[in-house]
Amino acid sequence: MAFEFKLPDIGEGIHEGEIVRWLVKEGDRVEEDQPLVEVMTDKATVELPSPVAGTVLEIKAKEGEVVKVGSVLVVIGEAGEAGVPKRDGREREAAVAAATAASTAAPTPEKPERERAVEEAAPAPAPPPSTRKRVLATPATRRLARELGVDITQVEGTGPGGRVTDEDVRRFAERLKAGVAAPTPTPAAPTPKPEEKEKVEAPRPRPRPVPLRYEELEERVPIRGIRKRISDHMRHAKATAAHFTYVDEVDVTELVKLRAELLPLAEEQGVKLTYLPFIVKATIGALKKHPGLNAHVDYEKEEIIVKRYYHIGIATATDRGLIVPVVKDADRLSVLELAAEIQRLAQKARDGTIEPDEIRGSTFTITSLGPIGGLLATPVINTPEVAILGVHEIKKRPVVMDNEIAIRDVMNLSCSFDHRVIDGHVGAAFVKDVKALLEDPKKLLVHM
Amino acid sequence: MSAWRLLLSLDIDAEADDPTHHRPLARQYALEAAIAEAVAEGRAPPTVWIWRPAEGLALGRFDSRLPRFREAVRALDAQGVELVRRSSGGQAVWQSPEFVNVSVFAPVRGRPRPGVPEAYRRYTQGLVAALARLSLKAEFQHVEGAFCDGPYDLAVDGKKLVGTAQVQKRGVVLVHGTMPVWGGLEGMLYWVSRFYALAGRPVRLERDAMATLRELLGRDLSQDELVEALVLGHEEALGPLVLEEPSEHERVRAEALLAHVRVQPDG
Repeated sequence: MAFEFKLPDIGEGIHEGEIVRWLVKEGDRVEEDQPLVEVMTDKATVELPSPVAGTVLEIKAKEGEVVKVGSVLVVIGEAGEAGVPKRDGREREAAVAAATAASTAAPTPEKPERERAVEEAAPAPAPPPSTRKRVLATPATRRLARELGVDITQVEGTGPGGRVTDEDVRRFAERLKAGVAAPTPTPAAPTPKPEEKEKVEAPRPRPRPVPLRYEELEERVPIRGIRKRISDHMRHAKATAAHFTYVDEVDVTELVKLRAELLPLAEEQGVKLTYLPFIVKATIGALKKHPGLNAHVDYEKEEIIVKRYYHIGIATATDRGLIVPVVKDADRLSVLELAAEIQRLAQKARDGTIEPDEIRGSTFTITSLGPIGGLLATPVINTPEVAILGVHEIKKRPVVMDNEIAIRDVMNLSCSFDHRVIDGHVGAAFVKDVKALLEDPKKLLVHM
Repeated sequence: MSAWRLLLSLDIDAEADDPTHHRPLARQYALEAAIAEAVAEGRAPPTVWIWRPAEGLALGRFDSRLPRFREAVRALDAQGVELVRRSSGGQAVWQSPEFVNVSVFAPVRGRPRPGVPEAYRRYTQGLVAALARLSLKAEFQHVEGAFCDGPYDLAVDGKKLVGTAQVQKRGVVLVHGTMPVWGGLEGMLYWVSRFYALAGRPVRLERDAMATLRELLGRDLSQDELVEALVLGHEEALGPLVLEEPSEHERVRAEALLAHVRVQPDG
């Protein structure tokens, strides 16, 4: 007689569960205690085992459906009993044939769920279906094989009709232990390739390759950790943002004087005052005038997210690679506070103690090439931001002023923009505004 | 039941420097799945695993049904976020070395198995006892606006601290919890919200609904202090713990399960 398996009480106060996945299908033969279905409730996924053995006649709840405790989930009985779903033609014949074959030829399902999961995860070791032999064995013998770590398909059965017995399994396990029970080779079974074998075995040193003249002079460095992140991020940035770079030179003679005047005050407070805090201030001043540059692009939603706060990323070279610590709410900090914060974050980045929150959330990034110098660069935008400012070394250069040549402190700026969302003239105007603020630090005072 | 085994994985830096660990979070979740299997099969004793997760997003069992799941995975992968699939239910949970995870694997022989609430109660007792040692009273509570909300999450003073989830499979019950300790909740807010927004089912998380352990304590605490509390708390709840390493079998099995745990952008 068909047995109706209902959603059992899986805990007090729980009235329903959602069907995550069926582990059997109609026509399957199931054993008592074999997992039938995964149900989720209260963040718990629970495999429900079958209380009876038989054939799955009808599955009554679909995956994704929410069912009440006490609702019928599945009908289990013998093949041909009432409850077999109405199907027509060849489909029904196939289902009945499958159920009949399962009930007569194999007393247990061919592949319990756990084995199926193993195959999903590691398909390589399983022989191809065409060569996989059908194993006749009782559930107890299968369990014994699992406990002894024996692949039952490799065991020659000596019981009636080739059935594998407990004794067969034990004998095989003993030979395996003694190292003489190499799995019976199946002619069509593929030999695992060396690289597949490496995936499942503990790592071993590779055999030293035959020395070749040039290979000996090469070193293969795995791309991993921070380098992997940088690699992925840069690839993404260059693949998505349409970069264009605008370069200008800035006469920072007055800024050099101002900084020199402020140095004793900074020293008193234990702060190392570089030019970077002034550049951050000038950048924020210009960003306030061009808010579209302090923004992210969300291309999936086709939106520009204009940020009304100023979290400035400072690209920092470290031994481990490029890291971009973020000065949060930089517009609210004084020049000396900015200097202290940049110093703190850069140190943490260099000694590897920076926290994840300190390298996320930037709205605009500045990359300082500093004393390395160079005339110009084409910085890569820290996407999803839309622009990046590259700052070069300050050098004394001859400059024409009032028709005379003067020696001035000059610095170049290389600024890249995402041309998808920033027009050329906007980018140029932004750089001009940064330049104007740096050339006349009195104007910068209003942002301090 | 045999004595409980204790596994500790706290050295994130060492793992990050190991060239074989360039997908560190997937390796950790694959090891969790391998331990569950080993406990279910009787190859390993009941186990408590205390571990600091690598950075990434651990997706819930149901997330793959989201309307724009694949697009969300591709977008986060392009941003360098490692995505893994865990076996328990609930929503996605951000993982960070700022957090400590506790996974409790209890064998189940025969029936009846413990009910879902009973398993939560029984196997989060160690966490509750550990927090009590730190003078915090944790209780089961729904917290609106918190990450991966559920009725058996642990909250302190109305703020969610530990997100819990559970798996019951043949032979084993696994109850695991994620506890933000030193920070990382901004990452939780940002990445979880971003994932669900991209996946077509936005969620609303509120920073004030949750807290790190450091915030609740109002002081800093070292890893050693926390681990000591967790070990003593679990001994109080479950009995003596014996410190061991994962077996070779579990490690090899974890390698095989890796592909099952990883969520790849191309499916």
